[in-house]
Amino acid sequence: MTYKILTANRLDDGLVVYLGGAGWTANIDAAQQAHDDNAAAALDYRGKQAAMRNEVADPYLIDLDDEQPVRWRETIRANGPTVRADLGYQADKRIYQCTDTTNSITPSSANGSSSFANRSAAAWREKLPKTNSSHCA
Amino acid sequence: MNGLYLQLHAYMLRVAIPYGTLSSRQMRTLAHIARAYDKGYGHFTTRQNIQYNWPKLVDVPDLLDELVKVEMHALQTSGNCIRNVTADPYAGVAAGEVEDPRIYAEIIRQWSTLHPEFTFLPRKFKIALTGTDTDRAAVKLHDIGIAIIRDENGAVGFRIDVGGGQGRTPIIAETIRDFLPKQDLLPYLEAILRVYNMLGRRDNIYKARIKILVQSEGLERFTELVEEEFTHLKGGAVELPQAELDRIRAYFAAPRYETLDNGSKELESARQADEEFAAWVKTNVDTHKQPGYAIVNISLKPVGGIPGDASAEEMEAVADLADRYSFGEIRVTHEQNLTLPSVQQSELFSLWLGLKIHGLATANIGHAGDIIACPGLDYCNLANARSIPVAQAISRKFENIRRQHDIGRLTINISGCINACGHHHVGNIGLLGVEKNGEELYQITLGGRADENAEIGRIVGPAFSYDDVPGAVETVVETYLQQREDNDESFVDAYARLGATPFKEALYATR
Repeated sequence: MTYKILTANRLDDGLVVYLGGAGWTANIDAAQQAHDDNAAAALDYRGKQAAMRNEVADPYLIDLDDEQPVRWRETIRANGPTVRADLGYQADKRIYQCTDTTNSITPSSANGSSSFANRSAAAWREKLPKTNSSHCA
Repeated sequence: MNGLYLQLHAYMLRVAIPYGTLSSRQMRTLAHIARAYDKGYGHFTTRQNIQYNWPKLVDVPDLLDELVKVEMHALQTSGNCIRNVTADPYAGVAAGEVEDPRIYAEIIRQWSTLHPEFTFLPRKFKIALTGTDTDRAAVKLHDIGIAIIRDENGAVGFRIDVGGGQGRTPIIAETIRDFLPKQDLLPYLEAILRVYNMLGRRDNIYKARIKILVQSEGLERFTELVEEEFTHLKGGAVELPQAELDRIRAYFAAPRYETLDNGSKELESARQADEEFAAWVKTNVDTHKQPGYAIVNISLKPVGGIPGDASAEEMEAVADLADRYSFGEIRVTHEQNLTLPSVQQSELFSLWLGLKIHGLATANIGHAGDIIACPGLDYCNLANARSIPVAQAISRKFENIRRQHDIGRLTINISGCINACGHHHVGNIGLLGVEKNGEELYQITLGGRADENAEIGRIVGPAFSYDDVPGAVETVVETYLQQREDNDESFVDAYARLGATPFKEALYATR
């Protein structure tokens, strides 16, 4: 089922954030979900207010489907550059690991957790089976 | 006008490198900034600048302070102003150069920086200069392109081209003045800018560049308007006095070259002894105006690497090697590589060894592995598709340097959206990433070129998927190899002779 969440970039450091129940968070899993137009409008309003308070820049709603961002762009924002596994949130989530001396990157094996990192790794695996990086951390 | 943009993951700061010229001291500062304010690397762009992808907004004032200490800044790297002026990376050292274009690029930089009349133009405005017949600055693809030339009497002046550009409406610039005397440079540029500022469209961002104005007015009418404006400006406040020209020329005085002959024995014996070195000399080393010296290009395109990216350590290594071998001078090319402009031929082998230690000796300049790519959807807020991993995949397909050399000169350019920062329109093989129903697709254009015979490439047919596009590029190259007349016929010449048909047949035969 498709629903919406609110995303923006934090004003002071520019990093991607999502509006959660307790405020802005880097964890997309903790984002507040809007399942109807009224709830989406409320999120949108809170984003505009936060931008006016100089907390975030460029807030906007994004669609999620089956707990995944619908747009590829948002998957990349949520993780980091597909060509640098050591950068962005994916570096902390450790969804990739270098597996051989050619620095090819493969998603780390799923550990049964339902965290976004592992769900996202599945999405990467599907879309990026041949992507490599010369900068594996 | 400071080029600070909010991108996908963080802020991006674009730092100006006027006419692509850097000292080793400046390069070390760029490395320091990469380490202290970013994540240990920078990205050299197709406009000879450098971009940092992760600075914090709160750190930017300190970062700019660091730049100022080495006479650098980020002005003219965004906004609807005259952007950082670009020039031939071989400026001052190219064989056959009429005059060093950096002298005039610097004059234009000083005139245009914070120019009150041209700070809110209809759209951004890009100027490029070259001083030789061989165009390494893509002057025909700029809002104004300037070529330093001699007239029939031997007087030095400029050919002025106007209305070139890429983006969603790629246009080759047309010549508005066959010969402009030196002292008239700024008055004439001011006349062009003034006409553009008055008549350029401000109602539609996609039709706001000067190229659209030149096309809508027609070159003849546009020229009349400029010449009329020029009559009011000629001989005025911005005419170039000889004393000022001489003052600025002094900044670009040649280093103290030793008196040497071409054909160093050390170079020849090293070439004979080491095939890998000989291959590097063949592709990465160019002719210098001064006997006994050479121009060295450093590829920032290792096999499978990210085009234009350099780590802080690599930047420092280049700075050290520049100090040791090239009078501390470095250039940035619009092909996203670096150049050491003046290296003694007898020291090429030891320089090459130094580059090799740092993985900077890839022998692919101007060849299939030397791929130009914008940051694409991995970083850029405007992109629709990724560029970098496509470049990496293609690079791996052509990882065999011997095969690259057999293929010969070939430019492959990739853009992740129609804004064309990867200059895909003028790649011999150009790839444009688009998004359709959530999928990344890549249109292929063939026959483009960014040199003195600039051409816009033509779309060959339906787009290819992310997974299929590297193979499609290989198919194009294989078709060329099968159909070329001989090894001396380059890809782009073969395409001009053959047309699109054989490539189209090969690409779409099984679809």
